[in-house]
Amino acid sequence: MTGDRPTAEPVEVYGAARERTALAWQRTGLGVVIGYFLLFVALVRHGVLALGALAAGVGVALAVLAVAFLPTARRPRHEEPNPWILLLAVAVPVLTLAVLGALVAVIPLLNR
Amino acid sequence: MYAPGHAARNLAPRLYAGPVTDGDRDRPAPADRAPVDRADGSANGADRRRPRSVYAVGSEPDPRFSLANERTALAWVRTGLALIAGGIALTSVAALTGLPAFLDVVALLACLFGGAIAVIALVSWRSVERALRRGDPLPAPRALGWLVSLVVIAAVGVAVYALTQMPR
Repeated sequence: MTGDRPTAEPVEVYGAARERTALAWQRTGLGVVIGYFLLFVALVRHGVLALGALAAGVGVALAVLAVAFLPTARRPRHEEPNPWILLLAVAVPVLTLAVLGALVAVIPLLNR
Repeated sequence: MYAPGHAARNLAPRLYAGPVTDGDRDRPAPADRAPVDRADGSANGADRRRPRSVYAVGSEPDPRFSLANERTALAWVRTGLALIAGGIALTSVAALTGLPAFLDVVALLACLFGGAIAVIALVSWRSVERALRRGDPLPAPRALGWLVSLVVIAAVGVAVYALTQMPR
C-alpha cells in the first residue's frame, strides 16, 4: 500500500548534482591540506622550522574547518554557506600556499 | 552559441516564469520568480547574499547550473593547487639532488601561476554566475588558452633541459 511508505523529502530533487559538488569540495579541501603538508616538509628540509611548524598548524586547522563547514550532500542546500564565501575561504589558503611555495623556491636561489 | 538560460528553462520550467528580456537584466528578481532555495534561508525575495554584483541581478537559475559553475571553479582551484604542489615538489627534489637553479626558477613560476589560477577561479565563477542569472551566453574560458600555453612552454623547457643533461 502506498499509504504505508515513508514520505519523500520535499525539496531535495538535485541529489546527484549536489553529491558531485560536495565531492568536488571535499577533493579541493583535501588538496589544500596535502599542499600544506608538502610545504611543511619542504620548509623543514630547508631548515625553516618555525615556518614549517606554522604550515603544519595551518594544514591541521584547515582539515578541521573542512570537516566542519564544507558542503555535504546530506544538509539541505539553503543551510549550506554561501558558495562565494566558501570559494574565498578555499582560495585564500591556496594563494597563501602559492606565496609560501614561491618563497621555498626562492630560498635556494638566494643561497647560491 | 550555447545559451544556458534557454536550456535551463527547458529543464526546469518550474523555476522560470518566462524568458529573460533585456528589461529584466540588472533588476532584482521579482517576487513571483523568487528562488525557493536561498543560501541565507530567506524565501520572500529579500535576497541578502553576497556578492551583490552577482545576486542583485537577474533571476535564480536552475540550481544544477549553479552547482556546475561551483564545480568548475573548484576544478580551477585544484589545477592551481596542482601547479603549486608541483612547484614545491620540484624545488624540494632540486635541493635534495643538487640540480641547477633553472629548476628553482621553473618551480617559482609554477607557484606564482598556480596562485594566479586560484584568483582566476574566483573571477570566472562570478562572471559565469552573473551570465546564468541574466540568461546571457556563458563567457569564453580565456584562462584556458594561457594555462595550456604556459604548461606546454614549461614542458618543452624542462624537456630541453633534460636532453642537455643526458650522458653522451
